[in-house]
Amino acid sequence: MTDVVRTERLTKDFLTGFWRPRPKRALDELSLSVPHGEVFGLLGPNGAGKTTTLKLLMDLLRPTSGHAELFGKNVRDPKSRRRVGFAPEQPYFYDHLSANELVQYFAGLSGLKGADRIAKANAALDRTGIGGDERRKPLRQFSKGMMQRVGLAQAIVHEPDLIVLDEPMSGLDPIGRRDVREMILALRDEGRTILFSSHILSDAEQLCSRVGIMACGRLAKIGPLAELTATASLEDVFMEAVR
Amino acid sequence: MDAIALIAWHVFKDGARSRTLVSLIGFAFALFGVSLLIGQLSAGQDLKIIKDIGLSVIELSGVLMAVLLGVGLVAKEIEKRSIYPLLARPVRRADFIIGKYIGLVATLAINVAVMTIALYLVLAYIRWVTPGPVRLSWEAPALDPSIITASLLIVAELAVLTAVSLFFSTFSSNVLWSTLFSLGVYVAGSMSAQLRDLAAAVGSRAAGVFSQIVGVVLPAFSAFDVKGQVVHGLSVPVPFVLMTLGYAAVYSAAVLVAATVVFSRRNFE
Repeated sequence: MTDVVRTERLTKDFLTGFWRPRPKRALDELSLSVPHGEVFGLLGPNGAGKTTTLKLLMDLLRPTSGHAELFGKNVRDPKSRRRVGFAPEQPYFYDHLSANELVQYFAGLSGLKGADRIAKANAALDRTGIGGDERRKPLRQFSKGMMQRVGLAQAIVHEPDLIVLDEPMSGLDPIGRRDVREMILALRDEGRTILFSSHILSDAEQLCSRVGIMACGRLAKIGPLAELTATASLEDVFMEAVR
Repeated sequence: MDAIALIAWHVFKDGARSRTLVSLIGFAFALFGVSLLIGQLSAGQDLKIIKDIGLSVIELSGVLMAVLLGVGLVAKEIEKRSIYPLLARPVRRADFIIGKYIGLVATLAINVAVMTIALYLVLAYIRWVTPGPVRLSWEAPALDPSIITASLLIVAELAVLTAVSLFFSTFSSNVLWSTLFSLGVYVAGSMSAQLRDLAAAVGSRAAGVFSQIVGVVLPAFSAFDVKGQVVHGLSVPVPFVLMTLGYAAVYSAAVLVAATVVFSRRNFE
């Protein structure tokens, strides 16, 4: 199978301290590949380097060293993101727009035009459970959970082959979490590749075919979920990896 | 190109719905009313005063909009993290900067056009209520077409100031600092002619070098100010207007290139 995501010794240092800035390693030589059609969960405690990894893949951060590719193209090339949808953690969008306008705007930025743009925006909003009246309200009236749904809608509006989700369950109530879980499984069944970060192990257990457990910027463990949990629970495997 | 147009349209829509814009337009129209009142109190000088205050109000409200909306164009997107899903699209960072710039300059240009029409309406009213013999004493006609030239140069000035504000907002996430820097450049740039005169008057070599540097680095905002000529009915030569517009285009392009370079290297932590 072709690798949709591939990183090679990807490293990121951040400078910390005002007077004498010193490098602090957030990601340490991450080598990872995610093949087509896989649901891959990047697990780890807070500060493990999950979000840094996703931001490097989206070219929001520039690596200190190493290399990252999407669909065989360097992530520095904007064309590498043509077939990618990204939903950041706890997203914020423009207050003055309605959900409809926002999703159409992002659809346009992904190259959709005219009637196709409107139809796909409606489909994405339907899929994320944002109803007819709600999609016309300005986003400033939306709750955190609704905003998370809008974030997912903009990520899937252009029917991307790779969907990258940073903590997609964050801020959602139990119903919202169930809806998102079902949506991810439906996207998987459509043959899309999904890469998501989470620190909620039950979500990973229900969704992932393969997981990587990160700790202190390093990939401590990686493998198919069934293999990793053959002799111990995911929680035990996780605790052992992050210790 | 599609991405640039979409981003520009989005900025335009945001600007049109922004409270800052609405309040500044309201403020500008209130000042038009005041100019009308002052004009009526100063016998024989009313037309000049109305033109002078009117053009100054158009410029001042445009400057405030260019800075207040300009510094927020990128800084607010970074501060609120709305930039993450946007740059995760197949959008070049340069396209993002250019789209933002075009959107705000278009908003400002339309705003200046609306206020210029309002100024013409005020002047038409003055012309209508003024007796014929008094009108003959005016240095320039009430509906002087050179007001359009002055407004065009105000738009060019705002285009330069927007580029400067946008530049500051690409490397500083703090909106307050970006606002202060942009206003500082505007004030210093408006005094660039005086700075050069001062250097010549002092006669020192160091002062001369300083004024040369200031002249090249800071935008010469004073060059865009033709209010004096327009108010007194003096002509504004076409070659001067074309040269000033050319200067605005070159200066804005240079600042946008710098903004793009800075923004392209930026990490969004």
